[in-house]
Amino acid sequence: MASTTSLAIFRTSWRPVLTGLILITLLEAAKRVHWLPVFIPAPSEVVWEIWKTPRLVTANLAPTAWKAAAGYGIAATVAIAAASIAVSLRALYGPIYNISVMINSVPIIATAPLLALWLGTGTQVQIAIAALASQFPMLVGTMQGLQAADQRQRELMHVLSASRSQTLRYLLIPSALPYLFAGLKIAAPSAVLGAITAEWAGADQGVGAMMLYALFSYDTPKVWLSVVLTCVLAGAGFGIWAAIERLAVYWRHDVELAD
Amino acid sequence: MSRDIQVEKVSMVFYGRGEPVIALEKVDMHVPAGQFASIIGPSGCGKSTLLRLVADIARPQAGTITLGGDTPRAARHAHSLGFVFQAPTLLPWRSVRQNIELPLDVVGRGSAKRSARSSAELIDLVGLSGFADALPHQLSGGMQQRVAIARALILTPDILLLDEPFGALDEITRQRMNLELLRIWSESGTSALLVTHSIAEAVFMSDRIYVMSARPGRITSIVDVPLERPRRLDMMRSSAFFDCVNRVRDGLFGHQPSEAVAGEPVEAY
Amino acid sequence: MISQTPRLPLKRLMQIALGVAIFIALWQLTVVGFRIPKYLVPLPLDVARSVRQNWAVIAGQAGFTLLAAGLGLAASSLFAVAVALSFSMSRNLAQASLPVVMVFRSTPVAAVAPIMMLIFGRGIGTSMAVVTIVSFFPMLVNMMRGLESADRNAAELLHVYGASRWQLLRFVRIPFALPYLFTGLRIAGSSAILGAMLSEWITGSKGLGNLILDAGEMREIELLWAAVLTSVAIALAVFWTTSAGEKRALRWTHR
Repeated sequence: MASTTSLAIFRTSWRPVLTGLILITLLEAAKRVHWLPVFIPAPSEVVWEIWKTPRLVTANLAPTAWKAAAGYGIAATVAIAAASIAVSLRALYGPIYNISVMINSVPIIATAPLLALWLGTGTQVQIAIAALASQFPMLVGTMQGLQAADQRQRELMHVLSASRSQTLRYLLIPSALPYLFAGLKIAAPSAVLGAITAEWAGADQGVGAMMLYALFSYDTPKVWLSVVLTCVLAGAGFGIWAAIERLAVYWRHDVELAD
Repeated sequence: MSRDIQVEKVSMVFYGRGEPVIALEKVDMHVPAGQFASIIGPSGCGKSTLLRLVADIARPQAGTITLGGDTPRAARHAHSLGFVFQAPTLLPWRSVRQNIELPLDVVGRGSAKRSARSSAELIDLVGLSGFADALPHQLSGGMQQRVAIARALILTPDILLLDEPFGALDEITRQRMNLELLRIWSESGTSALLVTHSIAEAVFMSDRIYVMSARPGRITSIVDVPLERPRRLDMMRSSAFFDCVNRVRDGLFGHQPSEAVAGEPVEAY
Repeated sequence: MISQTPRLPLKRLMQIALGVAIFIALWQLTVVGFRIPKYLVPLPLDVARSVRQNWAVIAGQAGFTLLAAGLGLAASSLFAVAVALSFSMSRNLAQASLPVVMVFRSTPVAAVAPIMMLIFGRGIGTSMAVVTIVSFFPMLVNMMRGLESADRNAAELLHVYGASRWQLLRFVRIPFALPYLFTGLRIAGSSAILGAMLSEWITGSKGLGNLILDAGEMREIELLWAAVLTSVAIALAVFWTTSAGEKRALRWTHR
């Protein structure tokens, strides 16, 4: 079974990977003959940055990844708990959903400085922002998921004389999984981007901080490196959950979350 | 083991917007233990409602239902009922075998209360050998419905309830499934109550047919089917079969074929 | 003659005023009731005072942000219209450009802004460019939908009269597409304001975004809140204007 999965991964990704490699080679060549403008470095320059000071990558990638993960974890716990409550206590459904929508619509522009006042400037602010930025899809996904079992399936459990916990275990939780994972998957890049953007408002470590520093020093390769790291982190978050989703939700591949 | 089904003066009213709908009005039904009975009628006549009352999915406003002397709720809690829905209603994350074993999981495998058949036995019985590990989305509609039937049988129920189980299938598959179901039923010895809107199916399968009319839901006639068992497809050419079909049709449409039909069309023979 | 006076009904205005009043009242009650310290959440009156005192600064900075967002939106609308038109002329072009368009779909500001700053430097140009890129995809999608939405019969009518492609565009497709332009502006509007403000953070150029950051650093809490509320008010104003434009345009096309 593992070999067919790796084969499947190879099959779906070889084209974009090949295109990417070709693009990189062309860029490199163009730079060598001075066809590229100043603000686009050769890929080799970016790689050289990493090679020269590998600590650059690790010292910045790790803190941002950690902040994003911590914020994500907090948001996931709160969102899943809140969604479960919202679905079981109808009266709280509207308020919980609306609060989540409101949090989602307050931009980082407003929350970062305000949170900095309350929590000081430290990793806590960035973790908090990452949490606020990623909570919405997880809440919506869980809410949708817990209501996903259709009427007939519930009647089936009733006819079988299943207890409440049995219905939860055998029906409600498995039918919620596709939506839950869709939400978790979508929220991951948001946590990463939230953390990085929050770092713009004041942080001494992290990809966002590295980005600011590189911009101030007009260090083009470092700027591009930070952009690449941003995309890699966001993509990795998404990819990890997508992989887990494929394993956990083995019976369907088509879930779209309602907005 | 089987139970009889006694329905006495059962009424059911649905309150929605506007007028209340009288789904069932003083319905009487007596199915002896071990018999195969059908309920037939136009759409909206309350036949599915009646079946769900027997299954304790809903409760009647008036009247009583006893299954082998117990209330439907007691029978349900004793796991004496097997229910097959219109749509297969399989759990998509469970394999065929796991779907069939779902009632076992609910009851508790260690429980010696019911002498359950093995899922392997049932998989063979419904003709799905080799598909034990398949997921529902890999099966056709007919195959999924067979899994549903096997699931309904695994706890050797005393009453098997079927709500238009073959409605979504084409005619050919449906006739085949009818034969299969009769075979499975005769081997299990339960009572069976089938809701259908196909006259041919009702006559072919049943010992007794309850014909219903709509708004309000009432039983207008009862047709006993004297055909011998086991039923064979060639019986559908016999005059006895034709006679039963006519009696059912009369019950549905009234004696004057030129009269405008009250209620909605029923699939004719 | 039926006069088409735009009705901004009194009732609606009163509802909005009531909502604002309730909001302010709740704000005051929460701060006082929960004894929230003034350095965290100032009282509405204090914020109002700050607005009055710093009105010139706030308005000035807001002006920069609006300029960047407005120009960026205008630019992305132009690009979107041009691209949508050429897509509607040539199916092949549309298909071939699909991957490039997809790149624009999920470009986060965090990745776009630094690159734009490398190209355009520290000024308002970067903010404009960021807004243009981030708004491009929603504008394009809506313009494409708009061009496709032209009533079949109207198009056929003109065809029967022997109208040229350009006349068809001018008399049928563009009028039908107009509401969708406003839809796109509505959708892209608030994220344009946001994108402009975030760009200001990273470039340090003038605008509400930096006003917020500076006020935070200088611990001028009331000013901070005043600036934040101003940005929220602007975003709402953009939303309402574009929605109104959308409704007006819809009325003209009798849908």
